[in-house]
Amino acid sequence: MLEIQRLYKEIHGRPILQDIHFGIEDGESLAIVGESGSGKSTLAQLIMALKQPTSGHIFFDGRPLPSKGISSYREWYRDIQIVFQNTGSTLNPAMSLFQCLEEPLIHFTRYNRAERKHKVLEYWGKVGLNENLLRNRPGKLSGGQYQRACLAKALLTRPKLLICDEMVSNLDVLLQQQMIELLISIQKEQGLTLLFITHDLTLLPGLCSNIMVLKEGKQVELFSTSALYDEAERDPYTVSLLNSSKMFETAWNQLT
Amino acid sequence: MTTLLEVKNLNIRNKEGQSLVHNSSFSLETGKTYALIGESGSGKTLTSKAILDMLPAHLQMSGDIVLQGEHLQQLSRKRWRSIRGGQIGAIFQHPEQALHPSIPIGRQFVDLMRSHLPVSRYEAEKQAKKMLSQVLLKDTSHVMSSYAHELSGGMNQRVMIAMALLLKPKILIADEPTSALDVKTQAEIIFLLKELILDTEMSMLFITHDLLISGYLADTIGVMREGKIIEQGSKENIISAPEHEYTQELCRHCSQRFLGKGEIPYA
Repeated sequence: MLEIQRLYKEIHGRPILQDIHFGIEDGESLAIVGESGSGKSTLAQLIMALKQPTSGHIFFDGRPLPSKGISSYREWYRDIQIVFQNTGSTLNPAMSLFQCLEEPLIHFTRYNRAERKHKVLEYWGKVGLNENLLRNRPGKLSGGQYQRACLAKALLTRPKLLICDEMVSNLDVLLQQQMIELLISIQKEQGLTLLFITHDLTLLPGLCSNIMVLKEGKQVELFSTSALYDEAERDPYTVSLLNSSKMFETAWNQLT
Repeated sequence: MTTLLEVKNLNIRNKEGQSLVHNSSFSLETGKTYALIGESGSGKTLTSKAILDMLPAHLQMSGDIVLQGEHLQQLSRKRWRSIRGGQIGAIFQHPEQALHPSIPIGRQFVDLMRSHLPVSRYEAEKQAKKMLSQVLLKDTSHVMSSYAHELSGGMNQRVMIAMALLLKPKILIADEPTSALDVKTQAEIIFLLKELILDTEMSMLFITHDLLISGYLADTIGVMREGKIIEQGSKENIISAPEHEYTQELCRHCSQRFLGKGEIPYA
């Protein structure tokens, strides 16, 4: 479905991504894991056509990355949607939440007003938010609610691929868990293809079927999640990422 | 063991009279770490700001905060200057917001030191370099001449820790110092804090949403929810026998994080 071929990206002469090469099949869920500065967010921006690659290609269902003309971008965004890390800057603060969510339907579909309202309510319920909130502005929402609203907005147009860029990193632990569970249930229900970007490997079992590890802009390895804890087969760097929570774990096990 | 800081019946209200922190009391022992845990909006950051007398003006505070016999609310502004930074150091979630964006790191160290102590510029610089190497920053001269935006998040946080420790405070308040960092850097910073606490006689108030980290770092844990401390005690008691439902849920969640190892639900 999504194919990335020999992708390079330089910013101010500094290589950010080097020789990235992978694909995502229909219905698959791939995680991209790396430290801050590993280039994982740049990769998301490249896939979203927010930046152009220095060299290399990105194809979605055989179509190349859009570079000119509104219609090609429109087609791209109908298929691919993204949820960012909660910075409170995705939703227009001057619009009501209903208007925020209605906007993509106005641009991407031919639904009339009543149908749009119906759709918005459907997805608003799906992410577990209360109908009364729709009249408020985004500023009223808590961090967890805000991420749910962004997720609903991204899913409304039924994209084929959803990219989550550090979607839960700013939430506290219990909210993280709820968000992951919500994603899993939507994944099952809609057969959504997922590209999940994170720095925390422990979030992934249960959510993603494959994991790609990035380090300093280079692809370290790509493997199936079921082989995550198979230390003999993993790259030493992946093991070091896994072990970063080990000292907490040891302390915890001594206490319980 | 002596009590260093005592917070008694702290109440914080906003203008509408809504209670944001309700009757919370706890104490910090010399050389120990107290972890205050809670979800966002539970009032944990407000509590730390109240101790530093940095609450926003529209909030009203009542209660008593005592640092070694001194009632902090009654202090003059001049006295506060020497306490804040001198006796109580603080690090926050976003070091790049706490550091000055257009003054090199080194000069910020020198200014800080010279505003508290009668030392020469040369001496202050020497101390700063010593502190920076103590927080395991390698190229100290490079860091000293850099601006905050030129350093990574993890490096900035180390700079903040060095700066907070420069005047050898008795208490370090750490408000979610690692929440914006990735897991690897987080582990490094937490390890560093633990070492520093063991090396010095300093006490720490560690504010976090992560029970797992508190289990590693703290001696005493207080769980905060909706402005109230619902449970506090030694970390052994809190983690092995949590009483409150919310604490139990947190513990369950932490234990589940390692369950994946044997059997991965996805296959």
